[in-house]
Amino acid sequence: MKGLIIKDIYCLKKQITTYGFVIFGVVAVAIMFILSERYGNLRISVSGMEEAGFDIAAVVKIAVMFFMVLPLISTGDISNLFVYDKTASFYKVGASFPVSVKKRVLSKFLTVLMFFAAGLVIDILMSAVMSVVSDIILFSKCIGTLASITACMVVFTSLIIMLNYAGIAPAYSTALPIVVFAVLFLLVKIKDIKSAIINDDFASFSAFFHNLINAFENKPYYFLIAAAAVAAVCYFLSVFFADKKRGVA
Amino acid sequence: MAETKNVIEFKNVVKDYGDFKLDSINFAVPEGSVCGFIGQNGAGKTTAISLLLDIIKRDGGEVYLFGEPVDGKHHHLREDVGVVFDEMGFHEFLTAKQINTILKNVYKNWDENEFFNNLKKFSLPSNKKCGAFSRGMRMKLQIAAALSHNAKLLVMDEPTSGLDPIVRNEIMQIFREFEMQEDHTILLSSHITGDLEKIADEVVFIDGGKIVLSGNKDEILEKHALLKCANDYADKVSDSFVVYSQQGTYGSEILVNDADACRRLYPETVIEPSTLEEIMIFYVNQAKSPAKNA
Repeated sequence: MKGLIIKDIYCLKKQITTYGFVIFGVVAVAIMFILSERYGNLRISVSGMEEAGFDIAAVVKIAVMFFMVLPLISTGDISNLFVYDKTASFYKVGASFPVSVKKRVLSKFLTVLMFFAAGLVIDILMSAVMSVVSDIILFSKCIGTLASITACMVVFTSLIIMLNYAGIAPAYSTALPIVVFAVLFLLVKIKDIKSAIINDDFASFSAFFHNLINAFENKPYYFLIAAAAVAAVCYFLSVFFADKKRGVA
Repeated sequence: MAETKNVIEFKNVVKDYGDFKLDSINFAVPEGSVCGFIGQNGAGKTTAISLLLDIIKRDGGEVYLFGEPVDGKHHHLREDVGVVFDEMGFHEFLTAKQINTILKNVYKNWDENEFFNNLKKFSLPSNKKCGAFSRGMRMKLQIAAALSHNAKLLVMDEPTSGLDPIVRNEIMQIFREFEMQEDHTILLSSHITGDLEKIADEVVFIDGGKIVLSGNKDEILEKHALLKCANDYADKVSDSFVVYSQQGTYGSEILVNDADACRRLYPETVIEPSTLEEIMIFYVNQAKSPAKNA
């Protein structure tokens, strides 16, 4: 199994340059956002929206957090592993190894967790730096947020891995969870979206963002428990699908 | 006399893809032998090998490897199997050195020194991305890996197809050296029967998902022969001997399955030894036109 993890690490190492650019870009954009919100055009252009009940500080905070977690998100491009394996026809070679189907599947999950751990370390370092230069970002709150977002990423990638083993093409297996989450969001928030578009009423949206940020910052354990449960279910389903097909790496 | 131990056994194995079926196949490969697995493209060789390596699930029958069932639970058996596929299977951005790092963490008996010695022997660079390798080099890289974990069985799926005769000869030499060691067995699938004729002890001939012939190569070659005669004489040859008959302008060529009997019964004809390729072609033709040659 260790050999398969090493193979996956070699595969993902190919993305290391992209990863470097992402981190560099993220730091630059996050700083620009904070400065713009405090002194620049962002504050001026959205002042009207603030009067309509839109909390610009919360939005900026989410935007900055989003940029900050990009390094973490970019480590989650697990579908590439399946694409690389398929392109090389590695599934035949991998399946001929003296490694059980369970361990082959487990190796994919462990590789992802290892990359998340690396992304998390980078994000924690970035949070420490950002919390020094900005009063929007508090380091203690960041840790909670990062843990929550890591949990969300674990859910997202576990679904991707499972869908790949189920035989869904890598491009669709990445898009499918996003589409499902987006549709769920739209269904749950359809009233608020209508009221924001028709009545220019952003109050409920603002409340939603506050609640979301609050949950991310202060209740990461909910997300972590959910992630562990989803990952476990996805792992067992992946083993089931892989065992049905056998020829998996 | 000690009983022969079979390293590979297929018992009534079925795999149904809908448009293709491996139909209740039976064969065995004795320990210490080189078994040539022959058949045209699409005959079912790769499917059978995939079943042996547990890459795909069978729909019926039993497959045994080293006497133990291949059932998804005995993955440890593959510790002793070196595998070479028709495609390299390793990612093109990997170097041989990186492949070594991967495989030494896969196989318990991985011998790093042996691997690098093999690379040297096959003139393969260890730091070059294998995507830049020629087809011959890619096959050699797979063979180098297959020979570096003390495998007792080499399973190879069309390892020489698409290679020039010089490289093919080099590769056959490597197989000979492997086979010379005690208890080493080779299952070599190929449609290039000339290669197999040089090296195989046993032959399994598959066509359309069915085993047409299997057994000792020399016996198969001795039993079969090409009987050449005038077209009007061809009907005199008993149907029980005829595998397939093809008529030409200057006469008929008949593959017969009992060369000695035919020599005795039809002394006025020319009876020449047949090659594995001829045997394969005539049997395939027979399958294509069963009404005429059954």
